[in-house]
Amino acid sequence: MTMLLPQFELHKPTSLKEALDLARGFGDDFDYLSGGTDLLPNYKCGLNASANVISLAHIAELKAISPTEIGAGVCLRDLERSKEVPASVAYTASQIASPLIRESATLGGNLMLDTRCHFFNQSYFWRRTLGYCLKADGDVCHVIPKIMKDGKSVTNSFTCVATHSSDLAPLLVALGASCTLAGPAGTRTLKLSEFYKGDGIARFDLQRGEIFTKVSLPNTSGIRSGYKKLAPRRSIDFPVLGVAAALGLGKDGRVESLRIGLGACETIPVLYDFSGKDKQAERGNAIFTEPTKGMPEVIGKKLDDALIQTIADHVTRTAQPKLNVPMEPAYRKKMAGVFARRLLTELRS
Amino acid sequence: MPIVRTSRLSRNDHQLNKGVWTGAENRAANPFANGDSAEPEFNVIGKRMPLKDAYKKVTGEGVYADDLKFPGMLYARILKSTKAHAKIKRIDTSRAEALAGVRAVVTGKDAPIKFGVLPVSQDETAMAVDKVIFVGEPVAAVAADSEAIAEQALWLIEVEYEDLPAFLKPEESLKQVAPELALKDKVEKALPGTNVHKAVDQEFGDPTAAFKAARATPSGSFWFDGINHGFTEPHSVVAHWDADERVVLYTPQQVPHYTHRALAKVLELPMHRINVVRTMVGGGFGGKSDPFPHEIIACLLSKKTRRAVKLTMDREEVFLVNRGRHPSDIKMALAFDAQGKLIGMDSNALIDGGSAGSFGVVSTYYNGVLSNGPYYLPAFRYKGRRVYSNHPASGAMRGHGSVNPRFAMETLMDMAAVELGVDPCELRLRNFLPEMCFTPYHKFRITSNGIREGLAEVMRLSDWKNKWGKLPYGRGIGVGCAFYISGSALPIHWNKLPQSTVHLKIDMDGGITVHSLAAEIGQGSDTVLAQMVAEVLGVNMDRIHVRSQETDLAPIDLGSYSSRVTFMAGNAARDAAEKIRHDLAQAAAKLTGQPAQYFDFKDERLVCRSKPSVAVTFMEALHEAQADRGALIASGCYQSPPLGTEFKGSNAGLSPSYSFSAYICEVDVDPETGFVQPRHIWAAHDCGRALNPMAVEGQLEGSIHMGLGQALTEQMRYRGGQLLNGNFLDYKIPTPFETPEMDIVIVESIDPEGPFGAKECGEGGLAPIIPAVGNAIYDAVGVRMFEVPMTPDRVLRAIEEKKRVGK
Ligand SMILES: Cc1cc2nc3c(=O)[nH]c(=O)nc-3n(C[C@H](O)[C@H](O)[C@H](O)COP(=O)(O)OP(=O)(O)OC[C@H]3O[C@@H](n4cnc5c(N)ncnc54)[C@H](O)[C@@H]3O)c2cc1C
Ligand code: SF4
Repeated sequence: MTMLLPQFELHKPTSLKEALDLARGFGDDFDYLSGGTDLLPNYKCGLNASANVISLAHIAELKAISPTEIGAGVCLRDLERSKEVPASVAYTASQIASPLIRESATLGGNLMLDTRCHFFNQSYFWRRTLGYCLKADGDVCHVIPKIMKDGKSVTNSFTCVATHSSDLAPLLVALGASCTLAGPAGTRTLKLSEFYKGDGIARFDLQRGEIFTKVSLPNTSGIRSGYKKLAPRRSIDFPVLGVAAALGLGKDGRVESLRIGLGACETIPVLYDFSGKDKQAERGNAIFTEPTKGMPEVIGKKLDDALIQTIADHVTRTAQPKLNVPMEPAYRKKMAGVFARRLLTELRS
Repeated sequence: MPIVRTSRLSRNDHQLNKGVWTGAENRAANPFANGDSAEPEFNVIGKRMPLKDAYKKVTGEGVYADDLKFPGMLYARILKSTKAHAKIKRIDTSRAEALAGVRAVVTGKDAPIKFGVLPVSQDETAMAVDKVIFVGEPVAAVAADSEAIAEQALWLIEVEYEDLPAFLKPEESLKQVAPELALKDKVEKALPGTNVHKAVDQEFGDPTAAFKAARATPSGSFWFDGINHGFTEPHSVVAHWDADERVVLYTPQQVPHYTHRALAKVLELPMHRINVVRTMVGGGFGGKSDPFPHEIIACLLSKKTRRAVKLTMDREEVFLVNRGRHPSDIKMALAFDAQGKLIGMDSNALIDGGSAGSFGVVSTYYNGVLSNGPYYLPAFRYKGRRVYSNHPASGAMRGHGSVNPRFAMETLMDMAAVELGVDPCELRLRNFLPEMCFTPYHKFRITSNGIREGLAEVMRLSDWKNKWGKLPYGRGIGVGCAFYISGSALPIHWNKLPQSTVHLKIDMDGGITVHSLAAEIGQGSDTVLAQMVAEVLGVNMDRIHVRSQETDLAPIDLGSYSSRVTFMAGNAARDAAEKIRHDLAQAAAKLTGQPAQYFDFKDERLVCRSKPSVAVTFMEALHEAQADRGALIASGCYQSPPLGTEFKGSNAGLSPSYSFSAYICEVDVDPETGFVQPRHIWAAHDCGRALNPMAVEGQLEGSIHMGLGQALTEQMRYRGGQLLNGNFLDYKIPTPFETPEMDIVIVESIDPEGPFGAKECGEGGLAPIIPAVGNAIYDAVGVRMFEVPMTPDRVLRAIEEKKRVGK
């Protein structure tokens, strides 16, 4: 059996401060570890392993749970059983991986899980055979190769387009969640939708050493929310598409607010804010979608079947799944609209 | 009249296998052998019992090869080819050898002798010699003090390759190629200069006339992705070349005997200097029945170091060793007359054998000849081509060679039913082979056959008549039938030895040791042999100890493939036990003065039939029989009767008996996403007699689960020559969520030659589920699926295509 864990030193701080101090001492050569269900499989494949691993599992500050705040260290099994958080959050947590994995897996790890790609999530032997890629040990992307013309790049893609495959991220982005990061220079809070960066390698707006401490939810009373996951099997599989929505509907059936989160298509959970208030972090790359381009007017309109279809068509038109996770992009793109329509229809009733 | 009984596996029911029998009323009415009006009373036959090794497995006490430890044991890793097709220009192992902790390095030059499971396809070497022909092929191997050191050393080995164009589409391999592009030195004799491994062309009856005269001639071009067995335990071996100059190889083999032969050949040792020890097998399904390069590599490394060497693979490596079901391109047409009688078949199979011959010659025949049932087929044309390619080797997998063409045939049966306006079950009933017959040309001898009863029962249970064609759009019901061999009648190595031999030994302690080389691979082989002996001798199961692991101790048996063990080794065990029974009866006669033939063996006693007050215990009889003689020892064997006919290749598909199955499946299809969820499966299988109904149900449920994987989700996906999904996250084996409710219907046709009437039930039950799903999809949404697995995107594409072209 070769999938041996590489050698590293494991540190187990019991407070945020201790963790941050440790991190400072290791420069770049460390990783945080929560449940380890994402980090350790990657380590076993020899993917960007560090010499130091700082476990956040023993830090009580990360484990609080309330209707408006969920600590990064809350495990998914607790989240799925929680009566305090919105039902859609508990449901979505229950759709992740498998019961056993959810016992260890945490919310923070889920929102920060590494982007996925079938040229990357492979053994060392496999990647060596292919010739590696940008995201680990190499200098090309096999999904969107840099196309050169007359010595100049015509695709602006020395960027990795590995897929962000979290189930909770699109939902929390749709719910308008914020996140709090604790760093050596203090804590800061930003919109979750702005936390993600359109680069499969850099991934986040995160300073080295910063710890993701919690997710805060705005008041969601009166907001109808839900999530639909596409995966080849009903358990264990990562999403190959996730559609989440948070809908505010007036008594007259008119849309007061609508935010859709699209997961497992790009390097970020894509936000469609139909009220136009929230913008997404800089996408950084021409090949990414512009979800707002041609976005239909929905606020104040009656959410009838025709409007739902218009919204669904917009999602399908703008969704840009990549050929780097199971199931073909064309199929997933089509399903984005089908799922959006089904979800909105369910939320309406 | 075969007996029919049903048990239900319900996903929501935690008391699995409670054994809800229906149709039990049929049992009393069943006429058993020789006109007896009632079933004979058995001691252990027909009783539900857990397998003999079940407790060890569930408590973790079972010892698998990777659990073995020896003093000073080394760990080996294999350097695999990173090229699909390339010449090896140079290998330099010096840096690896210099690494601290490395004890030995071997390369292809250390064992250039060719081997392979079939004598006609000796086309593998332990490691690549001059060129590599697939990504993952062993090129060199290292033994070191730890796995980590061995792994580190691998990447210090320098290999210089010169790329050659790769053959990744089976059609490419049909072409004439320059000699340097030949993947093997020996190819099909009739097609020199190509990369074709085996060609089979057979024509019987008058298919041209049949197709001309036909009322309906459904045809289709089918594609099947390759699939892997997905057994739980990865390949793992320990080899020890010991101080006595003997080699012991611990290996989870389905067929220790063929490994024994291959080792002798490649290591150039007499067979008696090699002991192959089968360790507990964590699943095989055909994927552990070839002699393997890694088995030889471990021996070579042990020879060099004189230490025990362990070699355990990771999952990706298991996928690259493969031997799974062939990627197949099958074009088939059937001809039916106006009454719905099948009058002809024309089939053309192009199967991708990948990098090795393996069992492929057999696969090539099976893809054609196993279409000779369960329907009477009066005109037959088959063209089969198995090609070499730069993919990992295909081989034998549960339902070997029959599963893909079965899907084609059953789909076409369904198309004919629709075209002729006949209910698909009715169409099948019109065409089933009868009991006690021969197929027209290949002369398969059909003995017992309970397929009619099976189909009738699943029709009744599923409420077929009220459902087929009548369910709302999106829900459908479909049927699929199949038959399968109960052991290949001809041994792979032609010789005069019996196919199975079993030894029994009983000493004064009263324990009965069964020696056999039939491999317990989780299917219940040890249990069934013990049952044979316990039944014949009228003793409890716990008296019987099965020793089925070592070639040193066990008589030759051809192992666990082609669903042969219950039938062949079972008959051999029964034969041996009868001999002991004879001796014990003599002893009882001596003790009591009653004639020996009057004794019944039951409940650990020998009771005189004419005077039931006269009885001796088993131990009394045993000790009497041992006087002046010591341990009782007997050898029993089984050899198939002469079967078949004369033409070339006519022995393929011959078996002393055949199992039959009829399945019905109800599915939900989401017409917008293409997702298919099987709702319920009613599965009838004629296994002759259920020696242990719990084991039969387990085999059938397992077959269905495995078949559903091929039907809906499993596929080996490649990018160039590189396997994209060689792990259990990306290779989609169905989970319990995908597994529907199942009603298992056991049909007991009481085979005249099977031990206590039994036939196979380990493989035949896989094939029918795939077309049953496909046909149910048609009933649900009106599209025919020609690609397997029937993944959501494929189903959706078919639905959209149908919408586009209209009805
Ligand atoms: C077989 C399998 C199936 C899976 N299926 C799914 C699925 O269906 N859906 C899904 O969304 N995910 C899935 N996952 C991924 C993973 O299990 C979950 O996303 C899980 O929630 C990750 O949490 P964790 O605590 O284990 O993360 P870890 O592995 O501990 O961490 C993940 C990453 O986040 C960083 N990190 C973690 N916590 C913090 C923090 N507080 N501050 C800063 N950085 C942090 C780590 O450094 C690491 O880079 C699957 C994983 C496996 C192995
Ligand atoms: S998207 Fe490109 S760079 Fe990123 S992991 Fe995949 S192959 Fe590598």
